[in-house]
This record gives sequence, structure tokens and C-alpha cells, in this order.
Amino acid sequence: MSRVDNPAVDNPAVDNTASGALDGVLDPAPSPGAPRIRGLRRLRAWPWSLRVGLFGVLAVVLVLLATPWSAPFDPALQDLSNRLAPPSGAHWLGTDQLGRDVMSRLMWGGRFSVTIAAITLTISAVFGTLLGIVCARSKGVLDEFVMRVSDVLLAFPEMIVAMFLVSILGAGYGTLILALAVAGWTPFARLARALTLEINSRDFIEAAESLGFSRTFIILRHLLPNAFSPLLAHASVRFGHTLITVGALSFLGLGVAPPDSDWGSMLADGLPYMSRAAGLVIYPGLAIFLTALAVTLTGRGINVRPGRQGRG
Amino acid sequence: MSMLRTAPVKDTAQPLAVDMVALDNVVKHFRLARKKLVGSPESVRSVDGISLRVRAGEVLGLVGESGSGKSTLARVILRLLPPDSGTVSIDGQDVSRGGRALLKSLRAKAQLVFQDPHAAMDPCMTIGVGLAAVLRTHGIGTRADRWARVVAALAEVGLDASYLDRYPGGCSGGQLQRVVIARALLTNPKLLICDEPTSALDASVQAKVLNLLARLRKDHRLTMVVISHDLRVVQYVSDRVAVMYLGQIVETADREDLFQGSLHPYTIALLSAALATDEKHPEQLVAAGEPPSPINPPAGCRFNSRCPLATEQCRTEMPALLEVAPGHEVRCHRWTESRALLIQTQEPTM
Repeated sequence: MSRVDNPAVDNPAVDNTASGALDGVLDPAPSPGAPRIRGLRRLRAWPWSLRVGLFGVLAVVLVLLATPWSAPFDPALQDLSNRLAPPSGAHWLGTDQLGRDVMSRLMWGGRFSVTIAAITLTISAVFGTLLGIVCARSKGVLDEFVMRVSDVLLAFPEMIVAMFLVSILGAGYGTLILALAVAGWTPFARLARALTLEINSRDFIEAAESLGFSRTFIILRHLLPNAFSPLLAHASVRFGHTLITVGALSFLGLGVAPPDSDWGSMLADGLPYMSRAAGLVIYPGLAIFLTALAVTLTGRGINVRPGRQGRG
Repeated sequence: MSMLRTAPVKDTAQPLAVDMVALDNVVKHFRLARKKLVGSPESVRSVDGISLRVRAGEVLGLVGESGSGKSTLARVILRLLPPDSGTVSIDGQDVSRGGRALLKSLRAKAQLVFQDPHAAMDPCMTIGVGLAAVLRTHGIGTRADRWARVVAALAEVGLDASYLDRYPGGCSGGQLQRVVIARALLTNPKLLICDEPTSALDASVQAKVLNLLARLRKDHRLTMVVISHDLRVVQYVSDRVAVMYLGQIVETADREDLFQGSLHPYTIALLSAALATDEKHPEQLVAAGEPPSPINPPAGCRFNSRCPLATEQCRTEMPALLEVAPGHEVRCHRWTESRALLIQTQEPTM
């Protein structure tokens, strides 16, 4: 390599190297933000799962955002003369046991389901991840305490914990979110802790320490980005789970209360009529499934995004 | 410890032979999980009482089998691991104890080059961002000229500015090892510790990296500690060589002294094994068997279980590290006769 024989130390003016000598290599002054913008431009290089998943997530979000204007009927409007109707021109997905328009109810219900699931998941993911990382790096008493608490929480099914909290604190959306977050942070804390322990043992963390980087920098710029993909994949899987848990709590009267309804409570309400109008169960189920699938695909797609981990 | 050098003065030699690294009786044991109910828990004696000097501008080669504690010693010198006892001085400053401010200045002064460059770079961070962060952490340069400094540092190791936006996954091992070296030199360190700098690289790239290190050493007036199990690497880059065996130093000498006139049976065995392809060394004298566990090292001389010359004294009494000639230290009871006995039996020609 001939460039080796041309050390830049021979150039007393260091700035020369950047401003003059290398102009041919990079036209604009390179900046730390450059690679991210370029990543967005390379849409075609994205894996299909990311494209399909993002498309699905965007579609769901747009439909739910537009619901107040685009929903064909009032979701609470009953028409007892037209109960359990099959799909028709007026009611695209038919009507339910009280003659309410299923499609409108799906759209309005989704707003509850998705919002509650998203908020819950964000809170438990952020809280759990930070706690897990801090535990893994500090070890000692704090680690022991947090992990034993999470053991206790994990010993009970998530539903029981959430039900317990909701029944103590009283029903309501705030309580519901709080209860689900309290029940849901443990897997994130455990995963983040395990990932941190693994990443901590790699050379680049030792390199970061020997280079004098601060603890905060190591956590925010080394640990988090490296733990991000698995955590996101886990979060995307948890999303579907959370959607269903919200619905189940609603069914038990501890979550979304009538006249509001979400996908889970619609699914539960439709169960007795499954033989006469299967759509009452199929459509909310499909909505949960497809939304969860889109989120999961996006998570997977981010995991395999090219460039980041070219080597295993 | 005054060690007069008999070897010809090197171009990097300074008028005052200052010790860049001074280790005094450094101990680092790793506790193992308790297995027995009674008694103290066992520990791995990775570094067991090491005293060592590296003079400013000198390149010390540190050789030894895997498990001999070379890498642990490097981490203790850099205070990535705190020593259990003993003192570590870098550039005249005791760094074995001390708080944040001391560590910060140490991090700028002494740097580490890793064995596997792919592991030593964060796969989620571009090379440019990773290197610029080093300058920011140490407050070197202004916000604007840090990027230029990184470009200059990369140019110095023969890489152009296109590497700034690359992720480590997109580079070869040789390229990344250059990046790691460039990163280590950003803070203008006085001491560079290279832990097996070439053993993860292809044979064709090894020579280039070694040449690069040799050139940077001159340009930056670096003191270096090169850890390797490859004696040819050590022979190529070092001024002095220290041989480690089970957490102890068994022999130190100037390079020529060691390669021509090694006195410790372990060193003799190591050299004859490594240079077996040499015509001068037709037969190998390999230390028999595996090295004993550093958890329960043998009593007496640590090498007695594998030494062809071991006597009763060797099995009971640990030999001291003796200065047998200026700059030549050996930890062996039978150093006066070892060479004659071993070379005679193995190599009649010498």
C-alpha cells in the first residue's frame, strides 16, 4: 500500500489535509449526520419485511387518525331491526348483535387498542430497558433488588398483576396503562440486562473505557444502539401481546368500558354469535393480527437493515 | 533499578533513561466462585508479583503461552483492571490508585490496540463518529477541526476520508486494525500497548501492520509494549523482551541477548519451538505437556513440572528474578548451566 509511505504527520498543517488535499474524495465537508440521510434515500436496499411492515403500520395509523372524518357511522348507533346483518353496500362489514356498524366500530375501537398498547409498550420498554442496563452495569444491591422484584412479578401471570392493580386503583384509562406498564416492564429489564452483560464483555466496550469515554456515553452511544435491534424485535412481538391483553381486560370490564370499545372487547362481545355472524370475531381478530404482524415485520426489517452489521 | 545498556544506542533513545512504565510487585488474582464450604475461595493467579520497567522510547515485547497473564498485565497497566497489590507507575505517576481526574489523564497518555479489530470497533457506529468522539471526550480541538483531525489521523495510517462514513462491518481486518491504531493515537499518547496486534490478521496484512507500528513509533516517539505469542513478531519489533510464565516474569533481556543467549529453560524451549524451521535449530526442544493451571501453580519454580533440568530445589524453593548480566534477568536456580546442558543435549552444533 503506497499510501502508507505518505504520512500526514509530514504535513505540519493538519487542516490542509481536510480542506485541500482530500477535496477530490468528498465534495461536501463530511459530517456525522451524513450516513443517516443516505440510509433513507436507499429505500430500495431496504429488506422487504421493513417495506411491507412500515407500509402496514403507516396504513393503520393513517386510517385510525382519519377515523373521526371517515367512519361511515356513529359506532354507538344501534339499529335493532338490522342485527347481525351480513356485509352490504351500507354496512361493508355487516352489523353486530345490536345492529351497530362493524366497520365504524373497528375504526373507533382501533384508536383505543393501538393507542393504549403503544403508550403502555413505550413506557414499559423505556423504563425496563434503562433499569436493565443500569442493573447490569452497576451489579450489586440494586441489581439484586430489581431482579428479585421482577422475579415476583413474573411469578404471576401478567393479567393477574394488571387486574389486581386496576381493581385497587379503580378503572380508567390512566390506571389501565399504569397497570399494564407495571406488569410489562420485566421482560424488557431482563432482556436489556442480558444484552448489556453480553455487550459489556466485548472488546469495544473495553476500548471505550480505555479511550476515556464517560459512563453515560458508553450507555447511550455504545450499549443502547447495540441492544436496540433485539429490544425492538422484542417490543414488536410484545405489541401484539399487549393488544390482546388490553382487549382481555376490557372484556372483564377492567379496561375499555362501554360505550367505548376496542378490538379485544369487540372480539369478546362477538364470541356468542360466532355461529351466526363469524365476522364479529374474525374482523377484530384480523385487525389485531394484521396490526401486530405489520409491527413485527417492521421490527424484523430494522433488525436486518444492511450496512450496520455486515459481519456477524 | 539501574540497568546500563550494553546494546548499541537506538535512534529513539533519550538522554535520560526515564521509566515510562514501572511495575512493582504487581498482583492481580481473580476470585473463583466458592466450591468448598470451608477454606478461602480459590483464585486464578493471573499476575503474581510482577516487577518490570519499560524505558521511555523503548519497545518491550511480552511473550508467553496463552493463560500466562500477558493480557491481564496489559489491563492492569492501563488500569482497566485495578491491581490487587503493588504499584503501577506510568510516566512517573502512580496510577494504581486514584480517582477520575487521574484516570482521565491516564486514558490520554496510554492507549491499547486490540487483538481483534472487528471486536474492538462498535458495529453500530461509523468510524468517523467513533474517532471524533475520542477527541470530544478529551477536549482536543474545536468542534470544527475535530473532523479534520480524524481525517488526518486516518491518512497517517494510510486510509482515506471515505472511511469516515463506513461501519466497521464493511471493512477488512487489516483496514480496521489501522483504524484502531489511528484511534489509539488521537490523544497523542506516550505509551501504546498492543495486545496481539497481528494475530487476528491475515499473514499478508501482518507485515504491513507491523511496519506501520514501527513507523508510528518513530514519528510519535512512542513507548510500546507489544504482547504476542508469536516470537517472530516480538523479534521484529522489540528492543527488549520479557517472557511470562504462569503470571510471573521468568526472563527479561535485550532482544539480541534473549534470542541468542536465553538462559531460562522455558525461554530456550519456546525459542527452539518457534524457530524450529531455522536451519540452525534442527531439533525442537518443546516443553513437555500442558502448562499447569494458574489456579494451583506448582510449588517452587512454576516451571518445574515441565523442566528437563528440575531438581529437588526447583520443586520446593521459588527462584528469585536475578540480574545475571546488565539488563538480563532470569528466574531460574540453574541459570549458570541451563544453556550448556540444554543446547548440548539438543543441538551439538551450537
